[in-house]
Amino acid sequence: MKHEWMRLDNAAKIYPLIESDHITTVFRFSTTLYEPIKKDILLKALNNIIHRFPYYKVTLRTGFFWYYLEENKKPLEVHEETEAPCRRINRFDNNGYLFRVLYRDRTISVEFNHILGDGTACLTFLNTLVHQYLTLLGHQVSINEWMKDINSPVDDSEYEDSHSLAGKKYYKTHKQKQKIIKHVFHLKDRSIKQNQFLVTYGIIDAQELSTLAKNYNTSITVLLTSIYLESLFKIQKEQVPKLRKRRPVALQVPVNMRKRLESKSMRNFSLYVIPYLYPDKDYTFEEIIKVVDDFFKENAEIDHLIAQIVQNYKTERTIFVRVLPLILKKIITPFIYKEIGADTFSGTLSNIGMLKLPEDFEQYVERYNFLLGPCPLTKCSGGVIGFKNKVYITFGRSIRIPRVEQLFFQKLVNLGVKVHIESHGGDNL
Amino acid sequence: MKYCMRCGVEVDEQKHRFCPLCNTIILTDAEIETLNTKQIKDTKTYKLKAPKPISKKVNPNIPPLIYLITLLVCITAIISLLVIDFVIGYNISWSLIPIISIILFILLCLPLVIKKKLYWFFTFDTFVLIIYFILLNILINSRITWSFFVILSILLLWIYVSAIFLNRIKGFILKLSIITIATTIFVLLITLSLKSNNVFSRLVLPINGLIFILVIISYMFIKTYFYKWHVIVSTITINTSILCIGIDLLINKFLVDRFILKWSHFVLIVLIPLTLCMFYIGNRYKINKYLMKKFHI
Repeated sequence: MKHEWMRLDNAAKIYPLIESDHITTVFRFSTTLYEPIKKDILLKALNNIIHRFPYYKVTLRTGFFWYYLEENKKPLEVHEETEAPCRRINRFDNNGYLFRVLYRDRTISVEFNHILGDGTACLTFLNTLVHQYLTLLGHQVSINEWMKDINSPVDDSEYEDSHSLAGKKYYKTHKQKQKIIKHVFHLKDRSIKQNQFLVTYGIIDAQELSTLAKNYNTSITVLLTSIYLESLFKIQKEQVPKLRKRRPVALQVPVNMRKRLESKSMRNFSLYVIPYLYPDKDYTFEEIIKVVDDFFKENAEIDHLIAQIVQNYKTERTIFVRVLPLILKKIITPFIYKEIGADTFSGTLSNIGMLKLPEDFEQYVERYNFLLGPCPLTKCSGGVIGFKNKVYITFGRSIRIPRVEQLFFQKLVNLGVKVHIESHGGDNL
Repeated sequence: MKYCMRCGVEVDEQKHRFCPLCNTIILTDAEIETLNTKQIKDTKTYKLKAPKPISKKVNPNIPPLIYLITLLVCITAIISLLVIDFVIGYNISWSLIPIISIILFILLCLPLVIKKKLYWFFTFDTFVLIIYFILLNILINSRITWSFFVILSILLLWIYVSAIFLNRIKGFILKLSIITIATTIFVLLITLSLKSNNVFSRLVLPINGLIFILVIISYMFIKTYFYKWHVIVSTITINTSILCIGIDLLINKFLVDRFILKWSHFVLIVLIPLTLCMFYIGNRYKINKYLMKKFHI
């Protein structure tokens, strides 16, 4: 490893401070092949590729003021999946690595702690792993921008904390403050047992979904966000009968910043836009789409996002935050995260977009899934990824009744889209 | 592939016996052929819940006539009292006490005729009562004496109720701050009137401040870790222990001018094992694993 140790990037700094068995800060990408997974070949593939991702061959260490990442020389492991997805990656398990490679029947999953990187980073890692696995099986598969060539040198820019660099660069030009909606609605249902996480998959034809979005003259992300917001709005009506007690419903939608600010970073470099609906009136679906579309046009604009980066950078560089000992940061941060983090959105919907892989690669892969980890406050979140003319929407929840999923997919069915439903581990109700 | 008859989504009947979204049974072709309609209905696991009847609040529409009759009776009584008092002593003296009581009664009956919010009446009645006690005190003692304490208590109660129930005062910490400041001022005024402000500065103010801080800490922990009941119990027990120690030390400092513990350690004997128990419950998997690792035979 080129760097003996690394600072956590701007976005990653909060994760070890709030991480717990309930807020695991873990997300997963899975891919299902057409043939059963061979453990020894998967482990070999992992060992072959890890030198290309030295920034992931690390373990988390405790400093006096901040956590940091240090090279991990312990052997890598792959595990058969037996427990709930997106469990906390304990630093004493898994030989101290902050990611976990799992397999089950025909599926390979990579679970990443957000400390390491975001969705794009994890997906690149998984694709490279699958590429190497297929190569070791004797298949001829090509490479594209969604994976790394393991023989290519590691670019310095892959290590970079693009968040801080952009924050420093635009510090003086983008100073406007971001408006945050606080104390939004959260699902009222009681959480299920710790270490349980229920998953529902919805599979939709990409063409049908795209046509539907075009009919509403909007994008797929806006369409799905609108459906999710409408579902939350309906649930609030069911759970909170009194109008004056209702709160805004808001949805956190991550935005990948790599293309917008030309970054090759393999660490965290995404931001969030949080469209919301006030509870004071009833909206038609068309009105919700209009609200969300307008919100995206205004808030996903580059200047607005840069202002958000600058704000995050300024917070991190505040002298008080910097000199506060880690032990105090660990005590205080959960409260701050609750107030200005998790309490500003009612759920999360992360759309990775259409994953386009080389044809000779695609022929060995059946599907992809993207699952976000649990949050005790929002209790339910969704990940979206498109692959081979299908869109895979995966909802994870830490409550028993899949009410969000039910309303979300029923809406799609009512809009004329055919939805195929599966759940993790069969019947889980 | 089959479709859920309730959600309309496609479900693989080989993988899922019930719809993953609404738990409606998914029947295979073979089952559909063997079951008749009634049996299919019986097999459904979900039951449509009948909507709960909305309980309408009965708003008693009391006619203002009752209030007018009451008013008439009261005015008659007031005039009678004035006349009797004047005839007996050629001046108006004792009759003022029942008269202001009757006026108080009339004012307290206002909710029967005026349509206002409950909080408006509560505020109105509070201030009517305050004026009543002031007048009563002046009439009896010619100056404000005992009514001072009554007025302060009523005002404190009004502030408590306003802080707790008034929707305009948002946020627990703001409500708690208002209650604490009001209590502090209340105690300060009481102690000043008793001419012993030593008690206030050395005992009441520190205890009040300690309670305020501990309640805020408890509240923040409960709000943040609402999903971890053992953390909530631990927070409450730890804060209760700190409060008991604090009160014990402050009382002894005030009484014997020394920081010593007299009774609070008995509370700790109960609370410390409870806190440790909660800590164990919260981390039992980790502790058990650690013990197994270190002490296995």
